[in-house]
Amino acid sequence: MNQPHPFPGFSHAIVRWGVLAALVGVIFFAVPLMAKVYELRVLNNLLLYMLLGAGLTIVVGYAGLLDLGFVAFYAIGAYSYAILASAQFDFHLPFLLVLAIGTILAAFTGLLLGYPVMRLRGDYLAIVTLGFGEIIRIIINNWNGLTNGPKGIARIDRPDLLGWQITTPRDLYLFLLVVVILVYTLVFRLERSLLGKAWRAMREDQVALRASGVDTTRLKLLAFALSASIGGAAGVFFAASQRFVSPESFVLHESILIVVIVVIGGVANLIGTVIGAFVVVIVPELLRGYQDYRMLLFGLLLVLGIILRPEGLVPQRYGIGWILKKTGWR
Amino acid sequence: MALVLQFRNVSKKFGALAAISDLNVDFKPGIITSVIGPNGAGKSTAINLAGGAYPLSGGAIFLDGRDITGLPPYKLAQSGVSRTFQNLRLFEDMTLIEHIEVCELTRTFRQVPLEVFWPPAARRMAVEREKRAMAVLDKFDLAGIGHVRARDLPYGHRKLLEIARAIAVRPRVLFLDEPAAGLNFKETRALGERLLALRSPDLIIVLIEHDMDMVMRLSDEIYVLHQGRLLAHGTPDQIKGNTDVQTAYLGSPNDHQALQAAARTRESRVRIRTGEGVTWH
Amino acid sequence: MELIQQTVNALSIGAIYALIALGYTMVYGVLKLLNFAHGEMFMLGAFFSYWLIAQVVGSSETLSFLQFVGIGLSILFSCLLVGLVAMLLERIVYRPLRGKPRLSPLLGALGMSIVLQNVVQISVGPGIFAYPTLFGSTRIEIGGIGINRTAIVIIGLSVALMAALQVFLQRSRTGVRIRALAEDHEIARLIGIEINKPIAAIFFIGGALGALGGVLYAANYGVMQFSMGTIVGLKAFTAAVLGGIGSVPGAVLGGFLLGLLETFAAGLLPKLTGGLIGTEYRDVVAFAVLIVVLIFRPSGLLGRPEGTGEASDKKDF
Repeated sequence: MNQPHPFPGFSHAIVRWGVLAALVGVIFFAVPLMAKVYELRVLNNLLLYMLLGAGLTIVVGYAGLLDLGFVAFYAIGAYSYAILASAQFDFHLPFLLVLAIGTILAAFTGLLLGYPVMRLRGDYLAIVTLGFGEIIRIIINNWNGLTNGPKGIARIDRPDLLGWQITTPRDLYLFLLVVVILVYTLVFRLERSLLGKAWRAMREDQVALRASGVDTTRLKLLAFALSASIGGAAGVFFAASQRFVSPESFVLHESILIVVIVVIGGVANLIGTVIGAFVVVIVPELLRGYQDYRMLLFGLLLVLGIILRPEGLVPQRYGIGWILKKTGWR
Repeated sequence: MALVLQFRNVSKKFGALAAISDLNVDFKPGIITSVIGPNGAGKSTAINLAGGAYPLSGGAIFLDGRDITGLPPYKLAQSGVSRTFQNLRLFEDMTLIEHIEVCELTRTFRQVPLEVFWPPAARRMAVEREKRAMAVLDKFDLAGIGHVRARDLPYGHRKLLEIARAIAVRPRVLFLDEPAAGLNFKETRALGERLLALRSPDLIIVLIEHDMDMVMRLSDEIYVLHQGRLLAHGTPDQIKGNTDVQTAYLGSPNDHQALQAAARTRESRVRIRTGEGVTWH
Repeated sequence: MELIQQTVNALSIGAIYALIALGYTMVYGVLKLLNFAHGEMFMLGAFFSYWLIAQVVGSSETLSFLQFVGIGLSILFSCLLVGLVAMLLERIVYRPLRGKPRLSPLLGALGMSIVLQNVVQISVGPGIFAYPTLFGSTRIEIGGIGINRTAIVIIGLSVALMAALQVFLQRSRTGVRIRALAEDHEIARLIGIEINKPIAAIFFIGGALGALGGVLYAANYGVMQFSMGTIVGLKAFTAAVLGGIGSVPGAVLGGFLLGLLETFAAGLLPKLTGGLIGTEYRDVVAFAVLIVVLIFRPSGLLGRPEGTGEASDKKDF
C-alpha cells in the first residue's frame, strides 16, 4: 500500500484534468483534422470492431459463454437499417428509430435463441451459436424478396442525427467515437455492478452460484441479450456508414474475428478488447505491403501471441479500473 | 406447522446402485443435527438431493410442510436450503466481500439498471452492500481480510468463507458437508465453537462429518446411515451406546480411533469411496 | 431406384463427415479442445494426395498395375503425412497451451487454421483444382440397381477404418490409455499414465482419418480448393456434436445422420414447401436439427449426460 506512486504527477487534479483534456483534444480534434480519408476509414472500422468487441466481451468475457455466431446479431442490425431506410422498399425511417428497432430486434433474437439452449454446456452452446449464425446468413443470402439476396442492398439512407447529416468519414468518426465512449462506459459500469460480479462468480463456479440462490440461466440470458443488442446497434452503424450491405459481411469468419478481438487482448478486460480490436484491424493494415502474405503473417502472429501470452496481451489486472485508480480518478 | 425439514420415503438410485433407500428423517431447528455413516452410506447423496443437484428416484422432501422436491438448486436456495460443498467451491478470483455480495443479487435484481446508469446511486449501493457483507464476514472473524481474494486464503479461512457464503443467503436450513475435513485439531475446535454459536431458533443445522469427536461434541441429534438406509437415531450418548452402530459402522473400538485419526489428517486430495469409485477432489 | 441412389450418396457423404468427425471427437474427448484447425487436415489430405498422385501418374492416359499400386500408396502416404502435421500442430501449439484458459488453445487453433489455409493458397493459388476421379465413375450393378463405384469405395473404406479404430481403442494398450485419459485426465496422470504419447496418437489418427476424408471427398466431387476445409470441417464438427462430442460411436452416427439429413432435406424441401424454400436451405435444416436435438438431449445422441452435482464442471469456459 505504501509503494511510491507510479505517476506521482497524476495525483494533482490539474495535471489529471490537463492530460484528459489533451487526450480529448487529440482524439476529437487532432485526429479528425489531420487524418487522411483513408486513415479515417480505417479508424472507423476500428471503432466498429471495438463496439463489436465490447458486445461480445459481455457474453464471452463476463459470462464465460463461447458465442461463435455473434455476427448474426450484427447482421440483424445492419439489415434492419438497410431494409427500413433505403430505396429497397422505399421505407425511409429516421436513423434513431431504426437504431432502436435494430437493437431491440437483435436483443429479442438473442433471447429467442438463448432461451431453449442456455442450459447447454459451453461447447455445445458454441456450436449452436455457430449454427445460428450460419442459419441467419443463409436466410439473408436466399430470401431475395426481403434482402435482395447475394446482391445485397445498396443506396442506404445517410444517417441523420436530429438534423446532423453524417456524410463524411470525419462526421462518422466523431459520431462513432462518441458511441464507443458511451458504450464502453456503460459496459464498464455493468462489469462493476453487482450483476457484473455475479457474472464473474458464474465464470468461476456456476454450481456454487446456483447454490447461493442465483438463477444462472437468467444471468446467461441477460448477458446474451445485452451482448446481442450491442451487436445489433453496431450493425445499424455499419449499414449507415457503408450505405451498402451484403451477406458477405456476415460470414463465420467475421464471428471468429470478433472472438479473436475479445480473447487476444485479454478476456473480460475492456482495455484488452480495445487492444484486440487494434490487433485485428490495424495489424492487417500495417501488413498491407506484404499483400499475399498478409493473412499468413496475421495467423502466425496470432498463434505466436497466444503461445507467448496465453492469458491475453494485457494482464487481467490492468483494466479500466486500474487506470482510473492509478490516475487518481477513483 | 413448525419449521422442519422432512425426508419422506426418499430414495435415490444411480443405475443399479441404491445410494439411498426409503429414507425418513426430520431435521429440527434450534439444534445441530448430524448425519453420520461409513463412506458410501449416502450422506453426501442426501445433501445433494436436498440441494437439488440431482432428482430423487422416489419420495419427497418437505420444508415447513411445503413440498420442495424437484426444485432447481437456485430456487431451493431461495426457499432457504443452503449448503457447503465437500470439495470447496469458491469463486477463486473474487474477494471475500464479493462472495457475500453476489448472494444478494436475486433480492436486489431490480436495482441493477439504477446501479449501471446512475453513478451516485451506484456508489451509495456499493457502500451499503459492502457494509452488509462485512457484517456477515464479521460473524466469522473474516471482516479484516474482506478485500483478499479467495485463492490467496489459507485453507482454514477458505472453509470458513464457504460457510459464511452459505449463511449470506439467510438460510432456514444449513447443510454442512464435512466442514472439518482438512482442518487441524485447533481449527476444528474453533470451527466447532462457531457452529455452536450459529444455532438459532429458526435455523436448522445439518452437519455431515467424519470427525466423531466433533460430531459427538456438537450434535444434539444424530442420524446414522448405513448402505443408504437409516440405521439409528438418537442423542450422541444413545448412538455411542448403540451396538448396531458399533458393529456396522465403527467396527471395534480400535477401528473407531483409527477412523478419527484418518479424519484428522485427511490431507490427500483423492479418496476412494466405496460404491462411487475413485473421485477427484 | 432414385431413392436408393440418393441413400447411397447420402451415406457416402455421411461417411466422409464421420471420418472427419472422429478427429474432432477424439481430441475433444481427451483435451476438451475444439480443434478448429482439424478441417485443414481434410484439405491437406486432398492436396498432398493430389500432388503425390500427379507424380505417380504423370501424363499417361491409361494406368499400369504398378501405377494403381502407386496411387494407393500415395493416398496412404498423404494420410500419414497429414497425421504427422497434426501431431506437429499439437506439439507446437496445443501442448504449450495445455492447462491454460480454455479459450487460448481455441485461438491457437483458429490461428493455425488461417496459417495452413494461407500456406496452401500462397503455394498453389486460390483457384479450384480438378481432382482425378480415382475410383472411376462407372456404375456397378447390384440387384439391378446401378451404384456409383466411388460411393462403394468411400463407404467400404470408411466403415472398415472406423471398425478398425474401434478395435484399436478397445484392445490396444495405447487405445486403453486414450480411453483412460478421456475418462479423467487427472486420475489417469495420477495412476501413472503418460499423457503425451496417447495425445500425440490421437492427433495422428485424427489427422490421418481427416486426410482420408479429404481424399475421398475430392475424388467424389472431383474438385478441391484451399478453403474446402472450412465448410466441410464445420459440417463434420456439427456431426460430432450431434452424435455427442467425445463419443466415438457418436461421431460415426452423427456423420451418417448428417449426410442423410442434408441429402434428403435438399431433395424434399422444395417439394414439401411447394418451391417456397429451395435446396439452398439444406444447411439450415442440418443446423436446425442439431439445435432441436441438443434441446432434448443436451449432450448429443450418444454423449454422456452431464451431471449437475458435485462433480460437474465448474466453468463453461
